[in-house]
Amino acid sequence: MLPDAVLTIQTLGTEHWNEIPTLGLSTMAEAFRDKATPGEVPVLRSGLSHDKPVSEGTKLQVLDDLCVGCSYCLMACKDDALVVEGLCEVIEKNCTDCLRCLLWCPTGALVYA
Amino acid sequence: MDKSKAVVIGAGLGGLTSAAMMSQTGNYDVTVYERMSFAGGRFTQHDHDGFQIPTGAVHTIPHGRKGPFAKLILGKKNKGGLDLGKRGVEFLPTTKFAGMMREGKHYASNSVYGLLPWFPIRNTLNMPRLLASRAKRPWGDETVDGRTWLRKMFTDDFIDFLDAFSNFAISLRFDQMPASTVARMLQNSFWSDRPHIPKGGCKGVIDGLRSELRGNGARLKLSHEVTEILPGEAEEETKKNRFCIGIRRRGRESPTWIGADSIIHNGGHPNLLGSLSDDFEVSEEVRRRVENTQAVGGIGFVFDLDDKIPQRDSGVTMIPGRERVGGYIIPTFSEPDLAPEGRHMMITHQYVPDPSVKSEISKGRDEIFEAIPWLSDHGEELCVHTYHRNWPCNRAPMGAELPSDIGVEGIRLVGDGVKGHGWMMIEGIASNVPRAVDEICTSMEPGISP
Repeated sequence: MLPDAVLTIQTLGTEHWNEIPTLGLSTMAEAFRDKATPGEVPVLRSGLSHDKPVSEGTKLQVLDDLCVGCSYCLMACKDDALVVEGLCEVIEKNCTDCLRCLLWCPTGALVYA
Repeated sequence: MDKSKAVVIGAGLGGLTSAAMMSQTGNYDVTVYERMSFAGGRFTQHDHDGFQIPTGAVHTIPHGRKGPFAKLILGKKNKGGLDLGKRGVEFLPTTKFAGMMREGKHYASNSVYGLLPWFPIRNTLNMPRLLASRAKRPWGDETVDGRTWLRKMFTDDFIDFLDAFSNFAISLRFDQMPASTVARMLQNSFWSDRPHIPKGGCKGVIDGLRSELRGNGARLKLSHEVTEILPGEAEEETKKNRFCIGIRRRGRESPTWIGADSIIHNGGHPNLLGSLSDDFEVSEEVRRRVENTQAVGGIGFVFDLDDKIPQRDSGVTMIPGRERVGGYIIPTFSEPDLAPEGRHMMITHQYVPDPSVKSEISKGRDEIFEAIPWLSDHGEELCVHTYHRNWPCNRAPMGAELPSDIGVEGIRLVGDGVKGHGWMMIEGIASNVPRAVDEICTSMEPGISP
């Protein structure tokens, strides 16, 4: 039995599948196990124009001149891996690379580099 | 028969309402492109352990059921509204009209008349003078700022109260605004309804708008960034259209080109001018105005409160006479679903006089704890939001709004840089949307691709 959120997404169609922040990656992956085209899932693991896709050895970083301190990433983070007071800071040992923060960031200040 | 292609850039409140209005006509093929992975922009919320933390708009509809926002969202279709009541959008009144926290004492009033007795009688006697001022339009070359102008009529403590209100609502002080804007803003607030909280928070409205878009066959594409706007002739497949827009999906390298016959832009003037190619002529004057416009910053704290707090109302409470903090609201007394059961959520707002945000945050925090005596016993800070630079409170300060029309046929701007004169917060966005959509619709011949 799939959770309600999954069913909602399935009825909405694939164009809404990027809405992970509200649903959680695993839920989304489940919802689109059949629908997502192979090779598209890695697309999720990247941000705006200036950031690189996740690969071995890259870490979540904050570009200070883009960060405005809006705290959206902090609210999205489930692992206490971020601190925001004027600027965002990453606590590396807590970060699980779930990328929720990156998807909420309005200015593209969170990148993998 | 191909329908004309209407593109909306940015799925913020302005973008989604414009798209919903256009899709309701049924004459256009409407698509909304949003660069981020969520819709709503600064008018939505995060679910953080059951707390519905707003992304900006403090869950408040400042003018309630009488303002332009309610007219646009809940108004019937034959009166130019979107009639989203059918989609489950509902506004819940705050339990008080407004309140004040002065020297540790809390005041609350049920109407605008109820708050006048908190101040010397001179203010009440002079109220008709404020209301009779002709301020429907800007006065033109204004040399008088709002505070100096109000001094002629009101005592300082009353002006401080109104100033705190302006600080909370639009992150500006009266001495930073032209007098006509201040006059009109206060007149609008005087005649308006008490503030309302949308059911389910800001996201309740956004969800209503999204279901309306889906119902009308319009598309919303999240994680799609607009890179460039070119004339239609630039690419083979968009020759029939007026514009050719480069859209890059998040994570992809190269853009794809799509055609559009009209563009409603909800991403701010600097971003529009940045993506607009040189083939379109934008006058020097508009460019200069955009360059000279400084976005307005602000800082908002969110507190988690227990159920034993002495204040039991959800009215906007002003903290007058403070250097930074403007006021706070506890929306959970109107809409309990915004916090987990037995908890409350308080949102404060303060303006940023100094660009060094970090010190402003700690000074603001001190002011809040000093002003609200019960806070340290009953509250815990959840987070602090700062808004400035490319993610500001308002893209243009109140009283210095930019034009919706930048002189390019088929492009109009909506959103918080182009508010109507004297309308604050989301009311300002809503007051400008119908006109922008109207102008776009008349610029396209419905049903036929030009």
